Amino acid sequence: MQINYSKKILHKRILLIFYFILCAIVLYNYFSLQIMQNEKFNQKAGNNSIRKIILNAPRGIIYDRNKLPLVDNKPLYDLKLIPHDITDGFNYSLFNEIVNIDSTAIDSIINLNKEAGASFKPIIIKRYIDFNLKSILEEYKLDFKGIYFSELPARTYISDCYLTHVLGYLRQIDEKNYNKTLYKADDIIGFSGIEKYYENYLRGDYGVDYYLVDRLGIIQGKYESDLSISPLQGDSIILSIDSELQSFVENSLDNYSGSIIIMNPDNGQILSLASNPDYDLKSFIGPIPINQWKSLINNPKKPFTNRAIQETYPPGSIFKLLLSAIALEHNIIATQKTYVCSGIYNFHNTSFRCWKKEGHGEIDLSNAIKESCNIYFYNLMQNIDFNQWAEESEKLGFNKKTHIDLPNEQIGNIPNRKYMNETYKDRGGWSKGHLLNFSIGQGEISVTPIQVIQLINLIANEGKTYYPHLNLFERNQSYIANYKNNVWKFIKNAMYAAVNHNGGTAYKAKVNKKNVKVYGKTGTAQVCSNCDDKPHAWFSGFVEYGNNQKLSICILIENGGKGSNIPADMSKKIFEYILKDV
Amino acid sequence: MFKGLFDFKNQKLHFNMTIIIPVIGFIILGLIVLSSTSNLNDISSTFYKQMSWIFLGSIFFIIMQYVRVQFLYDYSYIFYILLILLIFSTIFAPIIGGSKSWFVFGSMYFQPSEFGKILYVLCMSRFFIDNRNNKNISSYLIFILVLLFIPILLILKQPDLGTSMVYISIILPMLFWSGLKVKNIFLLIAPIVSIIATYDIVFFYFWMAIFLIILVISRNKIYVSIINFIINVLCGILSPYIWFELLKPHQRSRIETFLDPLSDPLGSGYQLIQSIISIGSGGFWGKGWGEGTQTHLKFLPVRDTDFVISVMSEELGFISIFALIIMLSIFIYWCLIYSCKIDNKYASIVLIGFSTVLFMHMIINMSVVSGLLPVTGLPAPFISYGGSFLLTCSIMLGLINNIVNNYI
Repeated sequence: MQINYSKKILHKRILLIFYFILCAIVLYNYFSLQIMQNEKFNQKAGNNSIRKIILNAPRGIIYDRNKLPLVDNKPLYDLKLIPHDITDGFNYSLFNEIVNIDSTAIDSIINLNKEAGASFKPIIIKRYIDFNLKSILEEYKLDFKGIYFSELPARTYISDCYLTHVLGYLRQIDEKNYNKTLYKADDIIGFSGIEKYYENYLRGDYGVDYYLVDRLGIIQGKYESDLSISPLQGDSIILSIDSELQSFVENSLDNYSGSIIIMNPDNGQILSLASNPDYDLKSFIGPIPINQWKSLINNPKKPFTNRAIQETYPPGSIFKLLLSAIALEHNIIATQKTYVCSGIYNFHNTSFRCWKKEGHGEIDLSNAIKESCNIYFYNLMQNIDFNQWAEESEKLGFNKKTHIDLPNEQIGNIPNRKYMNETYKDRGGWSKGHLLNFSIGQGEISVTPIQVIQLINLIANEGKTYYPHLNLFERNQSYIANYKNNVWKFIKNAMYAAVNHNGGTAYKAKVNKKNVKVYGKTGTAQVCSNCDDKPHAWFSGFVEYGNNQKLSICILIENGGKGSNIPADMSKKIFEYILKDV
Repeated sequence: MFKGLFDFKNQKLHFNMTIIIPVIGFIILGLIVLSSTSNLNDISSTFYKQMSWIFLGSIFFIIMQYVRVQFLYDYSYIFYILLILLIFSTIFAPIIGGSKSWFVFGSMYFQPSEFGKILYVLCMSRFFIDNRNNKNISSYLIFILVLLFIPILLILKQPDLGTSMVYISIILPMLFWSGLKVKNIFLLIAPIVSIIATYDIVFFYFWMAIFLIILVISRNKIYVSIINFIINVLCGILSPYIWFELLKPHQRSRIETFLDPLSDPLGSGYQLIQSIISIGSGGFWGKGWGEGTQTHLKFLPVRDTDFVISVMSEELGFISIFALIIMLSIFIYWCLIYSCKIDNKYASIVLIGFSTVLFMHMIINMSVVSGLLPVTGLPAPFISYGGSFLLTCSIMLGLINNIVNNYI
């Protein structure tokens, strides 16, 4: 019995060890799953049930100088689906009815992303869903398991003025070439104008939300997580634009191709900047119909071009101001120096004409500016070294950027010796005759209206102005051309005479008001020799009013004929509008 | 017939806490989990149903205290016939969940093979006791195989692999406890190893070498050794033949997915994959009661019954699994201590049988939900929701308590 009992104890021990080993195996398995592989399974469980949704940030609002909103946000949505959550229960026919996307399109999206292992990532299937359509889809939530919406930064244009080229439009980012730390592949970004230039201010920061979904892909609620981030709206921008004035200016320009800029020479703020033809930014909200896009792109009038800064023109007689300033500064002539204008000027074998066939007779510099006598400047040009003229032109702001806060500014062209040598190398060289053309702003010279208004600003402020800018709070950066004071005064007087005295070419720009002095210069720039196209018409000048307040203006009308007609008249009306209360 | 089944005079109601307390722990854990998965405002939800089953189970437990174990010994062979009839009756059962193992009475489900476990242990115990001094080992082993495998084959035919796994798993401890020599137990399980060993031909040769050495060392009669060797070689040769020639490809793939459910992640493997994710994502402290995303977002389709441990792992974490294993160890430890102390051979081996059934149920269930064993429908005792199973467990526990009280 004793032996039997000890044998039993042995059996008990063996069985106990056997059982404990089983327990240990099971326990180890759970330990391995729950402790050692916990992170991996946590992630899997998260993938199962948590969906990360990126919240696009609303863009900053753009205001005019009086804090009137020019551009606001209006929610548009992306319709997205998460391939993993699309099941057999998905009501394809109803979906097709509502958003016009059939099952094969959805299936191909799903299949494409299944293989990439990206089945938990939301895929855009339709952009620019508006609020109404979104509400309808949300009503049928149970038929469309696995669909999500995400807000898009879309704009609404609430102002009366268009401001097309200033504001610019938004577009989907170039999918191949973008900054991956800042953007996602399907982001909407500012593509032109202020929207592009101040993209980093306006953009805002993404938010992230997590949602719990059940096995069938139905959202069960928000997943409260420390990782959730609310989207941060972009910074607002206040423009120096006066939207009322802008509307008036746009209406003035409505029937012409060209541009108008109105600036404050004392701080560089742009009060109005118009370019025509333009296009309606409202039609750029959401998808742009392809035929509309094509017609805009192929339009020979180039509606996408901001003529104030992106198109270059010969400046015509406006450039006589520049030549006068250079000549006076460098004491090349005395102010009283006269030349005789007989209406025609023979230089070697070529005849150059003044716009006035009968000629101006004996004329001094002041009157030559006032009456825009070509012959005077042909003579004057021959006394100046060509390269000096080119260098001084650059000093006065040409052939370089004005640093306006808009993208893609052009610089135009100021020819110099080197340029002429290269250009005419194969055409038999160039002669001084070419230079005569430069004296009156013709030939190879090309400038942008914003450069021209900067010259006027220099004159108005007697040698000092600021970089032009649209952002009201942009730091004023000065731009100085330190010519002698009496140079500027002389030119100002001549410009005053051109507007206010009988026989001045800009007489139509005269404003009959007390304490209002308008200064100006017209320009009539030939587009081509021996063609029927009308010349481009310029008027540029400034007004002094009130307590030494100034505004400058530059008007360019493409093929607008004589500068003394349409633009001078237009300037008068605009100044009268601005100064109606003065 | 049932005269003498109960003895209210000599047998007293006494709770042996060393066995009862771990079980109460199981019940509490189960109720915590069920209260998380069911709607507590709904009086007909599984939580309240389980409560009433526990109440009913307690009554059964108390009734069991007055059963005379001697009576059970006397009627053991009748129980065997009863067992066969009971399991055989399932061929008339409706197909539920792919197998014919359940009878439905109104809203109640009844699984004959569940109660069959009690009868199985009772009759096998007597059979082992009566033959423990049998000198003719060969005929005894063959007899055991026939007797044991009739009910097991019937259950496999339903098919209910989980239950048959339990039936098989209790044989070895009981045989061992009845005094069968280890070398004979070895001969009994050798063919199974031979079948598995054919998976790799090198391993099979290796296994055959070991098998031969053990045959020589164990000094059996020469013809016994030869027959055994031939049986094992046949198993090894025939199983690849059956696998590749007799089974059709779709049958093969069905067995393969059964053995490796992860190869079919959206079909048969879905539940297991989600279960493993649930367990793994629980971590040490768990996600908290009612916070399991796998459970509450319905990724885990089956929750209250066979996969209740997954929910527990997810919400209560590894710490709850650890506690469960500790309680299980305490339970089996004391059961073994007691059966060692009992002189009555029959009572002792019945105690081993019942405690092994409960123990193996828990182990197999925990292994299944964590992917150690192929998925089979097998609940966790006292934790899973389920009426007939809870009653079966209560009866077994009641008889364990009865034997401990009356035979020490």
